[in-house]
Amino acid sequence: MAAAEQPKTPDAPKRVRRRSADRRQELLGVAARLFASRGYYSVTVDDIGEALGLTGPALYKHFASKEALLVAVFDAVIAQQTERMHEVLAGASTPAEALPAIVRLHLDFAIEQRENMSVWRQEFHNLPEEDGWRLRRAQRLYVEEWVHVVHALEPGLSDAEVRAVVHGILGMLQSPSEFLSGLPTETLASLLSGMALAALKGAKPGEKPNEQKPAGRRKAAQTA
Amino acid sequence: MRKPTATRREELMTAGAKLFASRGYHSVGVEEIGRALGLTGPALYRHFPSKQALLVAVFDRVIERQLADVRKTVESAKGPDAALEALVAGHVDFALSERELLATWRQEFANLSADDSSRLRRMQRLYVEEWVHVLTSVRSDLCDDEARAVVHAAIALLQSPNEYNSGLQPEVLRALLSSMALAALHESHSPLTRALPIPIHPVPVERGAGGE
Repeated sequence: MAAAEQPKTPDAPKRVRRRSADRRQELLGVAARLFASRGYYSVTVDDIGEALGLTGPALYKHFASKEALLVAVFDAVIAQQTERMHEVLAGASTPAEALPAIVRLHLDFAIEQRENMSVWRQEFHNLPEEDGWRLRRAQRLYVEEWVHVVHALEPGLSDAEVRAVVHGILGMLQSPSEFLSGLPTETLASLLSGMALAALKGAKPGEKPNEQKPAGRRKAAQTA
Repeated sequence: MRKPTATRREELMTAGAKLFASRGYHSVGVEEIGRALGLTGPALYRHFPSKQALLVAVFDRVIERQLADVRKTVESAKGPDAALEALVAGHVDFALSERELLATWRQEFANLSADDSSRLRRMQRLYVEEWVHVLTSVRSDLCDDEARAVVHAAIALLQSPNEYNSGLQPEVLRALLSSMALAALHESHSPLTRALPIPIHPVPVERGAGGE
Protein backbone atom coordinates (compact mmCIF):
# COMPACT_ATOMS: atom_id res chain seq x y z
CA MET A 1 0.00 0.00 0.00
CA ALA A 2 1.34 3.46 -0.90
CA ALA A 3 2.62 5.53 2.00
CA ALA A 4 1.33 9.02 2.84
CA GLU A 5 1.40 10.37 -0.69
CA GLN A 6 -2.08 11.81 -0.41
CA PRO A 7 -2.37 15.28 -1.90
CA LYS A 8 -4.14 17.72 0.36
CA THR A 9 -7.31 17.91 -1.73
CA PRO A 10 -10.89 17.81 -0.38
CA ASP A 11 -11.07 14.30 -1.88
CA ALA A 12 -8.38 12.87 0.37
CA PRO A 13 -10.47 11.97 3.46
CA LYS A 14 -13.07 10.19 1.29
CA ARG A 15 -10.34 8.20 -0.47
CA VAL A 16 -8.84 7.20 2.88
CA ARG A 17 -12.25 6.13 4.13
CA ARG A 18 -12.84 4.08 1.01
CA ARG A 19 -9.43 2.41 1.28
CA SER A 20 -10.17 1.67 4.92
CA ALA A 21 -13.54 0.14 4.05
CA ASP A 22 -11.93 -1.93 1.28
CA ARG A 23 -9.29 -3.11 3.68
CA ARG A 24 -11.97 -4.12 6.18
CA GLN A 25 -13.77 -6.07 3.46
CA GLU A 26 -10.55 -7.78 2.45
CA LEU A 27 -9.87 -8.83 6.03
CA LEU A 28 -13.38 -10.14 6.34
CA GLY A 29 -13.02 -12.11 3.13
CA VAL A 30 -9.74 -13.66 4.26
CA ALA A 31 -11.16 -14.47 7.69
CA ALA A 32 -14.19 -16.18 6.17
CA ARG A 33 -12.00 -18.19 3.85
CA LEU A 34 -9.57 -19.28 6.56
CA PHE A 35 -12.31 -20.13 9.06
CA ALA A 36 -13.93 -22.32 6.41
CA SER A 37 -10.78 -24.06 5.26
CA ARG A 38 -8.85 -24.47 8.53
CA GLY A 39 -11.63 -24.35 11.07
CA TYR A 40 -12.38 -21.32 13.23
CA TYR A 41 -10.54 -22.59 16.27
CA SER A 42 -7.27 -23.23 14.44
CA VAL A 43 -7.05 -19.79 12.89
CA THR A 44 -5.30 -16.95 14.72
CA VAL A 45 -5.73 -13.23 14.11
CA ASP A 46 -2.09 -13.14 13.01
CA ASP A 47 -2.84 -15.75 10.32
CA ILE A 48 -5.50 -13.46 8.96
CA GLY A 49 -3.32 -10.36 9.05
CA GLU A 50 -0.40 -12.24 7.52
CA ALA A 51 -2.44 -13.09 4.43
CA LEU A 52 -2.67 -9.34 3.77
CA GLY A 53 0.68 -8.30 5.16
CA LEU A 54 -0.89 -6.61 8.17
CA THR A 55 0.19 -6.81 11.77
CA GLY A 56 -0.76 -5.32 15.14
CA PRO A 57 -2.45 -1.92 15.16
CA ALA A 58 -3.07 -1.93 11.39
CA LEU A 59 -5.14 -5.07 11.90
CA TYR A 60 -6.82 -4.21 15.17
CA LYS A 61 -7.90 -0.85 13.79
CA HIS A 62 -10.48 -2.79 11.79
CA PHE A 63 -11.39 -5.62 14.15
CA ALA A 64 -10.75 -5.66 17.88
CA SER A 65 -10.54 -9.44 18.13
CA LYS A 66 -11.04 -12.75 16.39
CA GLU A 67 -14.51 -12.84 17.87
CA ALA A 68 -15.32 -9.50 16.25
CA LEU A 69 -14.26 -11.01 12.92
CA LEU A 70 -16.50 -13.99 13.55
CA VAL A 71 -19.46 -11.72 14.26
CA ALA A 72 -18.75 -9.79 11.07
CA VAL A 73 -18.58 -13.05 9.11
CA PHE A 74 -21.91 -14.14 10.59
CA ASP A 75 -23.46 -10.76 9.73
CA ALA A 76 -22.21 -10.97 6.15
CA VAL A 77 -23.29 -14.59 5.65
CA ILE A 78 -26.84 -14.00 6.87
CA ALA A 79 -27.13 -10.81 4.84
CA GLN A 80 -25.97 -12.59 1.70
CA GLN A 81 -28.35 -15.50 2.22
CA THR A 82 -31.25 -13.14 2.83
CA GLU A 83 -30.41 -11.28 -0.36
CA ARG A 84 -30.31 -14.55 -2.32
CA MET A 85 -33.66 -15.47 -0.80
CA HIS A 86 -35.15 -12.17 -1.97
CA GLU A 87 -33.81 -12.77 -5.49
CA VAL A 88 -35.32 -16.24 -5.59
CA LEU A 89 -38.66 -14.99 -4.31
CA ALA A 90 -38.65 -12.20 -6.87
CA GLY A 91 -38.05 -14.76 -9.58
CA ALA A 92 -40.95 -17.01 -8.58
CA SER A 93 -44.44 -16.10 -9.70
CA THR A 94 -46.30 -18.17 -7.10
CA PRO A 95 -45.55 -19.51 -3.62
CA ALA A 96 -45.77 -23.05 -5.06
CA GLU A 97 -42.98 -22.15 -7.45
CA ALA A 98 -40.97 -20.42 -4.72
CA LEU A 99 -40.98 -23.37 -2.34
CA PRO A 100 -38.66 -25.83 -4.11
CA ALA A 101 -36.33 -22.95 -4.92
CA ILE A 102 -35.98 -21.75 -1.34
CA VAL A 103 -35.61 -25.35 -0.19
CA ARG A 104 -32.69 -25.81 -2.56
CA LEU A 105 -31.28 -22.42 -1.56
CA HIS A 106 -31.25 -23.32 2.13
CA LEU A 107 -29.78 -26.73 1.51
CA ASP A 108 -26.93 -25.28 -0.56
CA PHE A 109 -26.42 -22.73 2.20
CA ALA A 110 -26.16 -25.43 4.86
CA ILE A 111 -23.56 -27.33 2.86
CA GLU A 112 -21.56 -24.21 2.00
CA GLN A 113 -21.69 -22.86 5.56
CA ARG A 114 -20.98 -26.10 7.37
CA GLU A 115 -18.06 -24.75 9.39
CA ASN A 116 -19.77 -21.47 10.26
CA MET A 117 -22.89 -23.28 11.39
CA SER A 118 -20.82 -25.51 13.61
CA VAL A 119 -19.08 -22.50 15.16
CA TRP A 120 -22.42 -20.70 15.56
CA ARG A 121 -23.77 -23.64 17.56
CA GLN A 122 -20.84 -23.50 19.94
CA GLU A 123 -20.17 -19.79 20.14
CA PHE A 124 -23.48 -18.02 19.74
CA HIS A 125 -24.26 -17.95 23.45
CA ASN A 126 -20.81 -16.45 24.13
CA LEU A 127 -21.21 -13.48 21.81
CA PRO A 128 -21.65 -9.97 23.18
CA GLU A 129 -25.34 -9.29 23.84
CA GLU A 130 -25.83 -6.65 21.18
CA ASP A 131 -24.23 -8.81 18.50
CA GLY A 132 -26.35 -11.80 19.52
CA TRP A 133 -29.43 -9.62 19.47
CA ARG A 134 -28.70 -8.27 16.01
CA LEU A 135 -27.91 -11.72 14.57
CA ARG A 136 -31.06 -13.22 16.10
CA ARG A 137 -33.10 -10.48 14.51
CA ALA A 138 -31.54 -11.14 11.08
CA GLN A 139 -32.24 -14.86 11.54
CA ARG A 140 -35.84 -14.13 12.49
CA LEU A 141 -36.41 -12.02 9.39
CA TYR A 142 -35.04 -14.79 7.17
CA VAL A 143 -37.36 -17.30 8.84
CA GLU A 144 -40.32 -14.97 8.33
CA GLU A 145 -39.78 -15.04 4.56
CA TRP A 146 -40.20 -18.79 4.78
CA VAL A 147 -43.25 -18.42 6.99
CA HIS A 148 -44.83 -16.14 4.42
CA VAL A 149 -44.39 -18.67 1.62
CA VAL A 150 -45.53 -21.65 3.68
CA HIS A 151 -48.52 -19.81 5.11
CA ALA A 152 -49.75 -19.11 1.57
CA LEU A 153 -49.47 -22.83 0.78
CA GLU A 154 -51.02 -24.07 4.03
CA PRO A 155 -53.73 -21.59 4.98
CA GLY A 156 -55.30 -24.15 7.34
CA LEU A 157 -52.35 -23.94 9.73
CA SER A 158 -52.14 -21.31 12.44
CA ASP A 159 -49.26 -18.85 12.45
CA ALA A 160 -47.43 -20.72 15.21
CA GLU A 161 -47.98 -24.04 13.43
CA VAL A 162 -46.55 -22.64 10.20
CA ARG A 163 -43.53 -21.38 12.09
CA ALA A 164 -42.98 -24.77 13.74
CA VAL A 165 -43.24 -26.43 10.31
CA VAL A 166 -40.66 -24.00 8.92
CA HIS A 167 -38.32 -24.61 11.87
CA GLY A 168 -38.63 -28.34 11.25
CA ILE A 169 -37.84 -28.01 7.57
CA LEU A 170 -34.89 -25.70 8.18
CA GLY A 171 -33.57 -28.06 10.86
CA MET A 172 -33.84 -30.94 8.45
CA LEU A 173 -32.13 -29.07 5.61
CA GLN A 174 -29.31 -28.15 7.99
CA SER A 175 -28.56 -31.73 8.94
CA PRO A 176 -25.72 -31.96 6.38
CA SER A 177 -23.91 -29.30 8.37
CA GLU A 178 -23.76 -31.68 11.35
CA PHE A 179 -23.47 -35.03 9.63
CA LEU A 180 -21.11 -35.72 6.75
CA SER A 181 -22.82 -38.47 4.79
CA GLY A 182 -20.20 -38.57 2.06
CA LEU A 183 -22.97 -38.60 -0.51
CA PRO A 184 -22.49 -36.54 -3.67
CA THR A 185 -24.11 -33.12 -3.27
CA GLU A 186 -26.72 -33.68 -5.96
CA THR A 187 -27.87 -36.96 -4.40
CA LEU A 188 -28.11 -35.31 -1.00
CA ALA A 189 -29.93 -32.32 -2.49
CA SER A 190 -32.40 -34.55 -4.24
CA LEU A 191 -33.04 -36.63 -1.10
CA LEU A 192 -33.43 -33.75 1.30
CA SER A 193 -35.47 -31.58 -1.06
CA GLY A 194 -37.88 -34.45 -1.52
CA MET A 195 -38.07 -34.92 2.23
CA ALA A 196 -38.69 -31.23 2.87
CA LEU A 197 -41.54 -31.01 0.36
CA ALA A 198 -43.07 -34.24 1.69
CA ALA A 199 -42.75 -33.02 5.28
CA LEU A 200 -44.62 -29.87 4.43
CA LYS A 201 -47.41 -31.75 2.66
CA GLY A 202 -47.62 -34.26 5.49
CA ALA A 203 -47.71 -31.76 8.35
CA LYS A 204 -50.75 -32.42 10.54
CA PRO A 205 -51.10 -30.52 13.81
CA GLY A 206 -53.48 -33.10 15.29
CA GLU A 207 -56.27 -32.22 17.70
CA LYS A 208 -55.78 -29.64 20.42
CA PRO A 209 -55.54 -31.07 23.98
CA ASN A 210 -58.98 -29.83 25.05
CA GLU A 211 -60.76 -31.22 22.01
CA GLN A 212 -62.54 -34.55 22.32
CA LYS A 213 -62.03 -36.28 18.99
CA PRO A 214 -61.42 -39.90 17.98
CA ALA A 215 -57.67 -40.41 18.17
CA GLY A 216 -56.84 -42.00 14.80
CA ARG A 217 -53.40 -40.90 13.63
CA ARG A 218 -52.16 -39.77 17.03
CA LYS A 219 -52.88 -43.17 18.63
CA ALA A 220 -51.07 -44.92 15.79
CA ALA A 221 -47.97 -42.86 16.47
CA GLN A 222 -47.75 -43.68 20.19
CA THR A 223 -45.08 -46.08 21.39
CA ALA A 224 -46.18 -49.68 21.87
CA MET B 1 -30.78 -52.71 46.27
CA ARG B 2 -28.54 -49.93 45.05
CA LYS B 3 -25.52 -48.98 47.15
CA PRO B 4 -25.89 -45.59 48.90
CA THR B 5 -23.08 -43.96 46.88
CA ALA B 6 -24.72 -44.93 43.59
CA THR B 7 -28.03 -43.44 44.74
CA ARG B 8 -26.41 -40.16 45.81
CA ARG B 9 -24.56 -39.96 42.52
CA GLU B 10 -27.80 -40.49 40.59
CA GLU B 11 -29.56 -37.87 42.72
CA LEU B 12 -26.83 -35.34 42.01
CA MET B 13 -27.13 -36.05 38.31
CA THR B 14 -30.88 -35.56 38.39
CA ALA B 15 -30.56 -32.35 40.42
CA GLY B 16 -27.82 -31.08 38.11
CA ALA B 17 -29.82 -31.89 34.98
CA LYS B 18 -32.85 -30.04 36.36
CA LEU B 19 -30.81 -26.95 37.22
CA PHE B 20 -29.02 -26.95 33.85
CA ALA B 21 -32.41 -27.19 32.13
CA SER B 22 -33.92 -24.25 33.97
CA ARG B 23 -30.93 -21.92 34.14
CA GLY B 24 -28.42 -23.06 31.53
CA TYR B 25 -25.34 -25.13 32.21
CA HIS B 26 -22.96 -22.19 32.64
CA SER B 27 -25.06 -20.28 35.16
CA VAL B 28 -25.27 -23.18 37.56
CA GLY B 29 -22.63 -23.34 40.29
CA VAL B 30 -21.30 -26.59 41.68
CA GLU B 31 -22.39 -25.80 45.28
CA GLU B 32 -25.95 -25.17 44.08
CA ILE B 33 -26.27 -28.71 42.82
CA GLY B 34 -25.31 -30.11 46.23
CA ARG B 35 -27.54 -27.57 47.99
CA ALA B 36 -30.51 -28.75 45.93
CA LEU B 37 -30.17 -32.03 47.84
CA GLY B 38 -29.64 -30.33 51.18
CA LEU B 39 -25.90 -30.98 51.09
CA THR B 40 -23.33 -28.39 52.11
CA GLY B 41 -20.03 -27.41 50.60
CA PRO B 42 -18.74 -28.92 47.41
CA ALA B 43 -20.61 -32.20 47.97
CA LEU B 44 -20.51 -32.78 44.23
CA TYR B 45 -16.75 -33.33 44.23
CA ARG B 46 -17.11 -36.48 46.32
CA HIS B 47 -18.80 -38.05 43.29
CA PHE B 48 -17.64 -36.09 40.26
CA PRO B 49 -14.27 -34.45 39.54
CA SER B 50 -16.01 -31.45 37.95
CA LYS B 51 -19.31 -29.94 36.81
CA GLN B 52 -18.48 -31.08 33.31
CA ALA B 53 -18.02 -34.65 34.52
CA LEU B 54 -21.53 -34.49 35.97
CA LEU B 55 -22.84 -33.17 32.65
CA VAL B 56 -21.12 -36.00 30.79
CA ALA B 57 -22.65 -38.51 33.21
CA VAL B 58 -26.07 -37.02 32.50
CA PHE B 59 -25.43 -37.30 28.74
CA ASP B 60 -24.34 -40.91 29.20
CA ARG B 61 -27.42 -41.77 31.21
CA VAL B 62 -29.80 -40.19 28.72
CA ILE B 63 -28.28 -41.70 25.63
CA GLU B 64 -27.97 -45.15 27.24
CA ARG B 65 -31.66 -44.98 28.12
CA GLN B 66 -32.58 -43.93 24.57
CA LEU B 67 -30.48 -46.72 23.11
CA ALA B 68 -32.14 -49.30 25.38
CA ASP B 69 -35.61 -47.96 24.46
CA VAL B 70 -34.88 -48.10 20.77
CA ARG B 71 -33.55 -51.64 20.98
CA LYS B 72 -36.70 -52.74 22.81
CA THR B 73 -38.86 -50.95 20.22
CA VAL B 74 -37.14 -52.58 17.29
CA GLU B 75 -37.19 -56.05 18.88
CA SER B 76 -40.86 -55.94 19.85
CA ALA B 77 -42.34 -54.12 16.83
CA LYS B 78 -44.75 -55.87 14.50
CA GLY B 79 -42.83 -55.18 11.32
CA PRO B 80 -40.70 -52.32 9.98
CA ASP B 81 -43.52 -49.86 9.35
CA ALA B 82 -44.71 -50.11 12.95
CA ALA B 83 -41.10 -49.96 14.13
CA LEU B 84 -40.49 -46.76 12.19
CA GLU B 85 -43.60 -45.11 13.65
CA ALA B 86 -42.53 -46.16 17.13
CA LEU B 87 -39.00 -44.83 16.59
CA VAL B 88 -40.39 -41.48 15.51
CA ALA B 89 -42.79 -41.35 18.46
CA GLY B 90 -40.01 -42.28 20.88
CA HIS B 91 -37.65 -39.69 19.51
CA VAL B 92 -40.14 -36.85 19.42
CA ASP B 93 -41.00 -37.55 23.06
CA PHE B 94 -37.32 -37.55 23.89
CA ALA B 95 -36.63 -34.36 21.92
CA LEU B 96 -39.48 -32.45 23.54
CA SER B 97 -38.79 -33.59 27.09
CA GLU B 98 -35.01 -33.11 26.90
CA ARG B 99 -34.98 -29.88 24.92
CA GLU B 100 -32.57 -28.05 27.20
CA LEU B 101 -30.23 -31.01 27.49
CA LEU B 102 -30.06 -31.29 23.71
CA ALA B 103 -29.32 -27.56 23.49
CA THR B 104 -26.54 -28.00 26.07
CA TRP B 105 -25.18 -30.96 24.09
CA ARG B 106 -24.91 -28.82 20.97
CA GLN B 107 -23.06 -26.11 22.82
CA GLU B 108 -20.80 -28.16 25.03
CA PHE B 109 -20.02 -31.26 22.98
CA ALA B 110 -16.92 -29.75 21.42
CA ASN B 111 -15.52 -28.97 24.89
CA LEU B 112 -15.61 -32.55 26.08
CA SER B 113 -12.50 -34.71 26.36
CA ALA B 114 -11.61 -36.96 23.43
CA ASP B 115 -12.57 -40.05 25.46
CA ASP B 116 -15.95 -38.70 26.49
CA SER B 117 -16.91 -37.39 23.07
CA SER B 118 -15.75 -40.61 21.42
CA ARG B 119 -17.85 -42.73 23.76
CA LEU B 120 -20.94 -40.56 23.31
CA ARG B 121 -20.45 -40.45 19.54
CA ARG B 122 -20.29 -44.22 19.44
CA MET B 123 -23.61 -44.52 21.27
CA GLN B 124 -25.12 -41.97 18.91
CA ARG B 125 -23.95 -44.08 15.96
CA LEU B 126 -25.49 -47.21 17.42
CA TYR B 127 -28.74 -45.34 17.94
CA VAL B 128 -28.76 -44.11 14.34
CA GLU B 129 -27.95 -47.59 13.03
CA GLU B 130 -31.09 -49.00 14.63
CA TRP B 131 -33.07 -46.45 12.64
CA VAL B 132 -31.09 -47.19 9.46
CA HIS B 133 -31.78 -50.90 9.84
CA VAL B 134 -35.52 -50.27 10.10
CA LEU B 135 -35.60 -47.69 7.33
CA THR B 136 -33.78 -49.85 4.80
CA SER B 137 -36.51 -52.49 5.29
CA VAL B 138 -39.16 -49.89 4.55
CA ARG B 139 -37.33 -48.12 1.69
CA SER B 140 -35.85 -50.41 -0.96
CA ASP B 141 -34.89 -47.37 -3.05
CA LEU B 142 -32.20 -46.26 -0.56
CA CYS B 143 -28.70 -47.56 -0.12
CA ASP B 144 -27.26 -47.55 3.41
CA ASP B 145 -25.50 -44.20 3.09
CA GLU B 146 -28.62 -42.58 1.72
CA ALA B 147 -30.71 -44.11 4.50
CA ARG B 148 -28.28 -42.73 7.07
CA ALA B 149 -28.52 -39.22 5.62
CA VAL B 150 -32.32 -39.52 5.62
CA VAL B 151 -32.32 -40.67 9.26
CA HIS B 152 -30.10 -37.76 10.34
CA ALA B 153 -32.39 -35.36 8.54
CA ALA B 154 -35.50 -36.81 10.20
CA ILE B 155 -33.87 -36.67 13.62
CA ALA B 156 -32.81 -33.07 13.00
CA LEU B 157 -36.41 -32.24 12.13
CA LEU B 158 -37.64 -33.81 15.36
CA GLN B 159 -35.02 -31.88 17.33
CA SER B 160 -35.71 -28.54 15.65
CA PRO B 161 -37.53 -27.19 18.74
CA ASN B 162 -34.26 -27.16 20.62
CA GLU B 163 -32.98 -24.38 18.41
CA TYR B 164 -36.21 -22.56 17.69
CA ASN B 165 -39.20 -21.97 19.89
CA SER B 166 -42.52 -21.68 18.08
CA GLY B 167 -44.48 -21.50 21.34
CA LEU B 168 -46.83 -24.29 20.29
CA GLN B 169 -48.44 -26.55 22.87
CA PRO B 170 -46.47 -29.80 23.25
CA GLU B 171 -49.32 -32.04 22.04
CA VAL B 172 -49.77 -30.06 18.84
CA LEU B 173 -46.03 -29.84 18.27
CA ARG B 174 -45.62 -33.56 18.85
CA ALA B 175 -48.33 -34.38 16.27
CA LEU B 176 -46.92 -31.89 13.78
CA LEU B 177 -43.34 -33.10 14.02
CA SER B 178 -44.30 -36.80 13.96
CA SER B 179 -46.48 -36.41 10.90
CA MET B 180 -43.79 -34.41 9.11
CA ALA B 181 -41.04 -36.89 9.97
CA LEU B 182 -43.06 -39.92 8.87
CA ALA B 183 -44.06 -38.25 5.60
CA ALA B 184 -40.43 -37.32 4.96
CA LEU B 185 -39.14 -40.81 5.84
CA HIS B 186 -41.59 -42.44 3.44
CA GLU B 187 -41.01 -40.07 0.55
CA SER B 188 -39.42 -41.98 -2.29
CA HIS B 189 -36.30 -40.60 -3.87
CA SER B 190 -37.54 -37.94 -6.28
CA PRO B 191 -35.81 -36.40 -9.31
CA LEU B 192 -33.51 -33.43 -8.86
CA THR B 193 -35.10 -30.25 -7.68
CA ARG B 194 -33.33 -27.45 -9.47
CA ALA B 195 -33.22 -23.90 -8.22
CA LEU B 196 -35.25 -21.60 -10.44
CA PRO B 197 -33.14 -19.51 -12.78
CA ILE B 198 -33.32 -15.81 -11.89
CA PRO B 199 -35.27 -14.10 -14.72
CA ILE B 200 -34.11 -10.85 -16.30
CA HIS B 201 -37.38 -9.15 -15.43
CA PRO B 202 -38.36 -10.33 -11.96
CA VAL B 203 -42.05 -10.92 -11.37
CA PRO B 204 -43.35 -10.10 -7.87
CA VAL B 205 -44.38 -13.13 -5.80
CA GLU B 206 -48.16 -13.43 -5.74
CA ARG B 207 -49.13 -13.06 -2.08
CA GLY B 208 -51.51 -15.93 -1.30
CA ALA B 209 -55.01 -15.64 0.15
CA GLY B 210 -55.36 -14.85 3.82
CA GLY B 211 -52.69 -12.25 4.53
CA GLU B 212 -51.89 -11.12 8.10
